[in-house]
Amino acid sequence: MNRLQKWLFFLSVAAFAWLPQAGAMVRPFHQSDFTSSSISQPDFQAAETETLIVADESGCLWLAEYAGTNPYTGENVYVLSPLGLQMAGSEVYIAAKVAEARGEDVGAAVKRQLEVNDKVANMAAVTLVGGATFIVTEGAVTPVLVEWGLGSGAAALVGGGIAGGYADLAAQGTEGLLGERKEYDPTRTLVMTAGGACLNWGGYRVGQLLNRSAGASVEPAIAKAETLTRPVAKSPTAFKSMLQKVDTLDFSTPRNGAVFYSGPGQEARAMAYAQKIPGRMTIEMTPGGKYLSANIGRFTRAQQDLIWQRASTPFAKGASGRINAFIKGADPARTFRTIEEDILDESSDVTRSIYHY
Amino acid sequence: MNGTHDILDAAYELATHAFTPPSHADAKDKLHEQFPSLEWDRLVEAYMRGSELAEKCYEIGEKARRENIPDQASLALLAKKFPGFSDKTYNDALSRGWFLSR
Repeated sequence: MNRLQKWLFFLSVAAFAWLPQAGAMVRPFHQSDFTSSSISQPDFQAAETETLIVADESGCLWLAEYAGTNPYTGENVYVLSPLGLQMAGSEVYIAAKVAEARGEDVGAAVKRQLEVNDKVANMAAVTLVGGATFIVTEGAVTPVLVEWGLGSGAAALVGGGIAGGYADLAAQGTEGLLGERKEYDPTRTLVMTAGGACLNWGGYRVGQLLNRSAGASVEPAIAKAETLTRPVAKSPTAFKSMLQKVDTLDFSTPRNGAVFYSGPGQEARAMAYAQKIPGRMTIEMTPGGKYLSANIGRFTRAQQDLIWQRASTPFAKGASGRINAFIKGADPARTFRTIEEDILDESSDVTRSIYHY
Repeated sequence: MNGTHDILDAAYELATHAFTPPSHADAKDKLHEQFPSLEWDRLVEAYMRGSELAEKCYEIGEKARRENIPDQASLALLAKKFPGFSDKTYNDALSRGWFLSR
């Protein structure tokens, strides 16, 4: 096997070692980097072949599974991935969800996980460079880098580097990973140095891509996490309490008084109409609506949506006589079209629906 | 309570409850009561800026929903398009936009 074949073989092995994972957007993590107990407690602690499925609020399932034990450190390595859908940035999203569930600082959890992701990506790049360096130095330097990579939490990705190293050893017939160096051969060293430099450059580029991929891929997850958690994450208990509270609030309106709106600029039309004619009320003008307006701000956007949707049902059910709806440009996927209108259509108390387009 | 933030924040808050020309006039009078030393022209200008932010809430919330924009990015966009308000008002405007576009 000549040098070119060796390098190609190394690249192939390295690619087989970690590209499938990168392609699946699954990155390994260590218990020391990502507190595994925060994912599963207590199930994860004694896991050898543990697979855990976590469902988030939207019903999306996430998988955290045991990937293997690092033979050098004895540490277990786990990977996180979404089940079914291969969604990027799952660690960040789960970290946010876990923090949210625990009532902890979500922003800090997201930041912490991002740092872990960056670290793993960097480790992967270093590992590739390490594999290349092994070829260049013929086994003198790489073990240090490999061990650093293993000790830092990129075991699966490091496999590529190790495999490359072994490939080189097999091809050279040298004594072992830490074995004696071969006789000095200037020509061979020059050629291998040049090839190694190329490989190093390739490793650097891969590292860049990994970092870029990590940054880009987590963005939607961060967006989703932030959407779910800002401005201040509330515990599920607080959210459930608020949902229960909604059921006790008063969203009733006088006969002919209920005013609905949906769409751009429709609030102004509806409110102007409601303020002009006594007894006309939009949902936020009811006692329950006033309470929610004053107290809902501390919940996440998604939670706010669910709370208002919950309130929309009694508001629509309580409507009687004529109702007025300002719905010019209303989105068919939003609350009025999906919740309130159906209730109004089925209600025997509503005698007439006046739509203002 | 005489900072630019305070005046604009108060203008925004009043504008969110005004939907007709008379109610806008009342809102301006209330703003004048809160800041009696403020020149009328400056007061009207502040109210218009507050009113403009209040009117754009729906658009902001809708854009955030459709494009799944993180809050921080939405807030930064608000601060860029409507400078001079406090962080609390930007947060309120985003929450209001989220509600209106629900």
